[in-house]
Amino acid sequence: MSVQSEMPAIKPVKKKLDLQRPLDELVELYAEIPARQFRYCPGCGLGMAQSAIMRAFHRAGVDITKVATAGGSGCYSVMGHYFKSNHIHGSHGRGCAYAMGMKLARPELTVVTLQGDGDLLAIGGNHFIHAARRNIDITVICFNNYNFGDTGGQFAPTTPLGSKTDTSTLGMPEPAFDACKLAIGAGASFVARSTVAHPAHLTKMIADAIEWKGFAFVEVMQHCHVLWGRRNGMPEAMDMMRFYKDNSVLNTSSVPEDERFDIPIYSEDEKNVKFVLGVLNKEQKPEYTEEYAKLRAKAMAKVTGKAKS
Amino acid sequence: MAKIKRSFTVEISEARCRSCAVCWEICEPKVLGWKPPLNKAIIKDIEACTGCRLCEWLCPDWAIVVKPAALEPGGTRAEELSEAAS
Ligand SMILES: Cc1ncc(C[n+]2csc(CCOP(=O)(O)OP(=O)(O)O)c2C)c(N)n1
Ligand code: SF4
Ligand code: SF4
Ligand code: SF4
Repeated sequence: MSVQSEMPAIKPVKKKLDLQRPLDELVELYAEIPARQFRYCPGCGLGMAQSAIMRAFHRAGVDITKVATAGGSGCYSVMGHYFKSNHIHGSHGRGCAYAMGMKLARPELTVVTLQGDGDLLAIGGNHFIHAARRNIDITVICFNNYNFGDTGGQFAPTTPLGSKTDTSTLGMPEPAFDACKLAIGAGASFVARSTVAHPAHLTKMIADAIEWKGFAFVEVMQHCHVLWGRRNGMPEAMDMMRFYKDNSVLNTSSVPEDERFDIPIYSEDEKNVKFVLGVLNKEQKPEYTEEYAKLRAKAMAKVTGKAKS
Repeated sequence: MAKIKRSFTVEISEARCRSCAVCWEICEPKVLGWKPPLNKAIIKDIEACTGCRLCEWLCPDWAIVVKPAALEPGGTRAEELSEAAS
């Protein structure tokens, strides 16, 4: 491998939120979808999230041939295959490890991981917090559906306290992770949350995360009405969409009017707030591949200096 | 100036649709409906469509495409798109 003396490639110029591009044109540019349906259950939020991710690629102006995606096992794991990006469908929970490797080897690539909540926060928790700590320029997208969908709906670290799953039929006795707080605590420089019921906002959050230089984390609240919803009184996709719509607020009133997408602003006396959406953390920090390139240059200078003397 | 009513075309792929009910429940002007026995999505009242694209964005199986209908014969797609975006 040659020594990377140059800085990583500059990210593309920011464009206006292009939400008006019809789906078939976007598919031609970014996706490779089967002629028939996707492999998710009918109505699953993963298909909606996938749509938002495609629009976010478009908005961020990325060259899809320069995008590398990574994921592990779960219902979401087929998603990477539906994009024209280069995808690694690896082992469970290792998305961040693959992503870090790819980014270090090829800093000019846009690296995105597509991971489930069980995948990222349970078995992959260590990879996640250490990637966040290093502030490496990757985008981690977590599909939080409150359970392990692919294996039949067992509880995950995100399952809300008291809710029913396959392995907590009398109610979940453990408190849940707040994935965004975990990411902030671990050092992620960009952290955002949105839901599939707010497609324009979700697209904006993912596009901002892709454009962000440094570790970006987006928690996508994605319904699994078939397993979690059915056991918790919301058996239809629309039941869960309404649940997200009715319980979501924006974190701050400093968001410009045209970026609020009609989501109410958080206020203290809000009773039924479950989902605080928006950019929850944003701070400039040194980026890992750049720091590593400096270190490598230093090491090379030492070696070549020694060779001369 | 007279207000020009924009019109849109909505295409639904029967092969892709899996009758999840999201599109016709999310569409406020009730443009969309369903057809038994398979309950696949159909268009009921295209005139009412506001072009909000919610159905297109939220269809989990990517079965719906919304496009602005040609403003007048000869109008290019690029013109239509930039108009719709503004
Ligand atoms: C090393 C390893 N352990 C366990 C499994 C079994 N497994 C497959 S998918 C999955 C859970 C996935 O849940 P999540 O990441 O939340 O994604 P979802 O299916 O809910 O989209 C598990 C435990 C596996 N494939 N590999
Ligand atoms: S099990 Fe749940 S998350 Fe998995 S595809 Fe079905 S609805 Fe979606
Ligand atoms: S949202 Fe899509 S899959 Fe669901 S009923 Fe409508 S067209 Fe069919
Ligand atoms: S674009 Fe909006 S108004 Fe038109 S059919 Fe779709 S949801 Fe209904």
